[in-house]
Amino acid sequence: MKPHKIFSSLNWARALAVFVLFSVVAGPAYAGSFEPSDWTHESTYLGKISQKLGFGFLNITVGWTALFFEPVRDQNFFVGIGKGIAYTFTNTAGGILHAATFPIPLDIPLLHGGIAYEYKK
Amino acid sequence: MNIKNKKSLVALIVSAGFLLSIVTSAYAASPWMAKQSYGGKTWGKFCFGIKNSLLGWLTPWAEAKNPKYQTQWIGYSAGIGEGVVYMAGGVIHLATFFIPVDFPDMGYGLPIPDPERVKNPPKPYAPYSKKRNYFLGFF
Repeated sequence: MKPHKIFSSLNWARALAVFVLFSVVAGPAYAGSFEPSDWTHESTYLGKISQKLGFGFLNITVGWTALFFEPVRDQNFFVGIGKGIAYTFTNTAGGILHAATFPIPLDIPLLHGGIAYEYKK
Repeated sequence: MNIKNKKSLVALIVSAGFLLSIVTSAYAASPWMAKQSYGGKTWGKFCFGIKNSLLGWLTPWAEAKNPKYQTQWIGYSAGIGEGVVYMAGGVIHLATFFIPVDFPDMGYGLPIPDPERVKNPPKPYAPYSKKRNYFLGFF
């Protein structure tokens, strides 16, 4: 497939529709929970891009552990499972986006600031 | 390349160097910037470039032991990004060691040896101290 046809393909339209649906459903529920990533506190450009790459790597590798952290937090077990599934998706996808765009110091806020939230107890 | 283009290229390089020296002097964090002489700075920059370009890949393991991170894996992940930047920056430092401009400003760079330990070295191991070992208060 030619590169310019990727964005006009049916699969791309389906993926976009799923993403929009997810955003519409999940957005209002977690509107106040999207926090700036930790690496935004760095002062220099190099500090930001290095920490952004590390942040992406961290969320790709252990983003899925939210699935096990959330049910044991102080909340309803089934709500925890639902949140765990949502966080697993956002952490992993967000990690990929952060790692792929690390030379651009532009933040993509994740729910509760990514997987490091699970260790803040 | 004609003479006019050469002159404009030289002017561009000189002005870029001047701007970089202004920008980087705001941080001036690389250890070799503390040296006063040209020779000291270039040698320091050369060694800094060698260290970071060849050993930058060790950063994840060094950062994993950094207490500022909540877990070792968070530190290790941060070290992955830093290692990539340190190795790339180290190559630039090495290639431009004869120009004593701190660019790119990587701060201390690879944290080996640990900067905190350099500032506050641990006390030497002294298993046989001069403290007397009293036995039941009699000796």
